[in-house]
Amino acid sequence: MASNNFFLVPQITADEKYFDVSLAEIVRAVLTPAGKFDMTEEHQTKDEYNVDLRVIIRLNVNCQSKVPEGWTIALKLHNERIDGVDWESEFTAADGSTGNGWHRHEWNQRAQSAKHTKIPSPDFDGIEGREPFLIRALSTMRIKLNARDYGDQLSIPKKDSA
Amino acid sequence: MGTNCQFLKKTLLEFLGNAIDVTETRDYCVLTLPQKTIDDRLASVFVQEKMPGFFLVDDGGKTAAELFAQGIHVTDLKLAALEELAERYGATFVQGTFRIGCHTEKLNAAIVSIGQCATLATWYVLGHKPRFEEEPVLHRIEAGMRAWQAPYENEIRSRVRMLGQKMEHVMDFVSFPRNGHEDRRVEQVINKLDSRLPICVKAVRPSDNPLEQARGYGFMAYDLAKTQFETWPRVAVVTRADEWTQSAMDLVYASASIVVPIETGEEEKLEKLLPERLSEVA
Repeated sequence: MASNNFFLVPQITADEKYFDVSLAEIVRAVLTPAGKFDMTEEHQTKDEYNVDLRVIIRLNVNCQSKVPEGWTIALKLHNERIDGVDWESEFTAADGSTGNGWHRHEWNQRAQSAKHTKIPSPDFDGIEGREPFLIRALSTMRIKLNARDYGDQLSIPKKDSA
Repeated sequence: MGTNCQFLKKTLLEFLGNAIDVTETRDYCVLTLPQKTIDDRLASVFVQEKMPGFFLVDDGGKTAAELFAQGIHVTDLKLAALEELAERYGATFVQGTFRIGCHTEKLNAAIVSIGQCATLATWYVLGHKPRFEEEPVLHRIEAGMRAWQAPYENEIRSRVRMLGQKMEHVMDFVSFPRNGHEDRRVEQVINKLDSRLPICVKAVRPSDNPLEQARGYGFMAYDLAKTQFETWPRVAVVTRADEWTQSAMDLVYASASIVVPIETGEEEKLEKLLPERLSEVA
């Protein structure tokens, strides 16, 4: 039966999550005019009683914007962001202070949302390229990818010249 | 006592003046306007002087990116609405960005227009709700495959990569026939004589757009044609079958050897149902 797994979010964010895709493949996807990457994986985690549970998690990246300030990355559960990184010129940080620029969205269990809990992430300041952005964001969010990129094995078969 | 209109205007101008923030970044300015988006952000407007007296004013693609990050995926219908919204404010919505190109005399109006587009476009967050229907099925598929009494010895492997003509594809599970002969050369001869083929099983989820998912599955079938994988029977396990359109489902049926549709909440049946269907293609 369908169930609300939001109670697992603290464990999921703490877990290492694996997506069966290479970094190069994500970069190729976000360099297309659509500028987006979308992938779903089943992730195995444990609840507070150490019972194995499986959830469907989704990785969404949007690097369509020409400027880094328009880039976002989000990890979702039940199509709701549970973790992510983006940029706002001015925002209210989780501690009530005013923040500027890059920040991480942290899950708030009571609100069942990561919308408003923003933790400043100055590590992202000065990021210019999509690949460095992805490397830093994926590392921050504890997301592992497939080290092997199979994209370079592929080529469109050449037509016979005869 | 009458309202002091001039005083109101003066205080509002003071408020706006204090609330508008500007940041210089690389070769453009980012203006933070006091108007809040529906997802509770301050609207940011990016201004770049492309040539003397001519400016590009846009939202830096932030609005579409924020919608995407929050689980609102821009479908064709939403795209048309966002383009219409942009047009109403004299802007365009191209490649996920609200944009206006203008000369100096129209710069302020353009900044306000883009701010309005950035604010109004987040209207979609109001209708967004978490989706609890999606159930993990891979472990059920694996259990179903292992429970299957194949008419021959077999080996189940997960995440099998297949090289198509133009792309690599990943099958969630493949059941490989195995004769288990110790002598590899004898095994190869038996394999040649034996017409049994590996059976591929893949979960196909509707995601936000079932037709797009069906097209993806159809492309995989098309791309595997004329490769060694062309003849391998394909079993498509279609989840949340009640959410698929007929045309999307038809495409999956046309691209798979067998389709196992599973309705929302009936995922448990998969472990019993899959072995029966596998026997049909074995």
